[in-house]
Amino acid sequence: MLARLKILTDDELLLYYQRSEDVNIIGVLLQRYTMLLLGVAMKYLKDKSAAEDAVQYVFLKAITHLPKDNIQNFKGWLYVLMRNYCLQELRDKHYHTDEAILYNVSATEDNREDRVWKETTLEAMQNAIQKLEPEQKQCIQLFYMQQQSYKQIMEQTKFTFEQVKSYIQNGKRNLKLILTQKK
Amino acid sequence: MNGKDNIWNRKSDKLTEDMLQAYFAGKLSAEQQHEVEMWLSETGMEADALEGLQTLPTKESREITNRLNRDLQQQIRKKPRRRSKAIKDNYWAWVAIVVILLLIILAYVIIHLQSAR
Repeated sequence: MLARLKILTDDELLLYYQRSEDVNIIGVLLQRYTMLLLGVAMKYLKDKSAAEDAVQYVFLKAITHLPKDNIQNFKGWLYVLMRNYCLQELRDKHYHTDEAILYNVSATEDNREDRVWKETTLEAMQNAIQKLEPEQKQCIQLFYMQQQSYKQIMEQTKFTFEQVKSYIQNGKRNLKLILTQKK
Repeated sequence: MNGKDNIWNRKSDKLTEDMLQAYFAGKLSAEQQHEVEMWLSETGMEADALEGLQTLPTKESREITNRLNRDLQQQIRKKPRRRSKAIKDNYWAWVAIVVILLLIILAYVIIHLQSAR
């Protein structure tokens, strides 16, 4: 029975749960995300036992309060639940976390904007890359154009892991800004 | 797939636990590492999780995950059926509700008739 459930998609499992109300199905679904949830909690709370408590809270909430209505995106629903819990914990208990994290929570992508920059031509993209700061430009080119791993980029540029990550994330955000401003 | 497409598209649409474990254990090829790191350049659950898991030793994250999964199984076994469901499916509960309502109405009528006399 469990082996059969494991091959179903999230949507199929949710539908099955809504019909049968068998909590074992929720168990199978939640276990797909245990490690990801733990990682999200660690990012925000920076404490092992607090992160473990956070995952347990999200599991309990999912078991007892999973909406009867159709959830379009189960993973997204879990993510929002976990993020909200962590942010509340940070506010209540004042964990030592960078304040910026509270304001740097990503919203879902704007579909229209998403489409605009996906339709960009290669030439426009290359022009936009030229306008990035040198470090961002270098990391974006190595990561996306030459498909190098972070480790390879670190070896080549002598940047730290955090720097590489930041240059790629910020470079990508800036690219999107440059390209959408033009449209 | 050209460079431009690489920026907006990932090759995989799911980051599995096995991939995560292998990534942190350094068991992936450069190409596979790149594939995992594509998630890092985005915003969302996987990017946050990768960042958070980096702060834990691989063995420990596996142990905590296993423990959480075991606790979840125990919790699921303990969970009682919902009360509303129990009533909805219970024929005798509905019979009892109807009988009680009839008795209340009957009592009201008797009291009303007696006070009218």
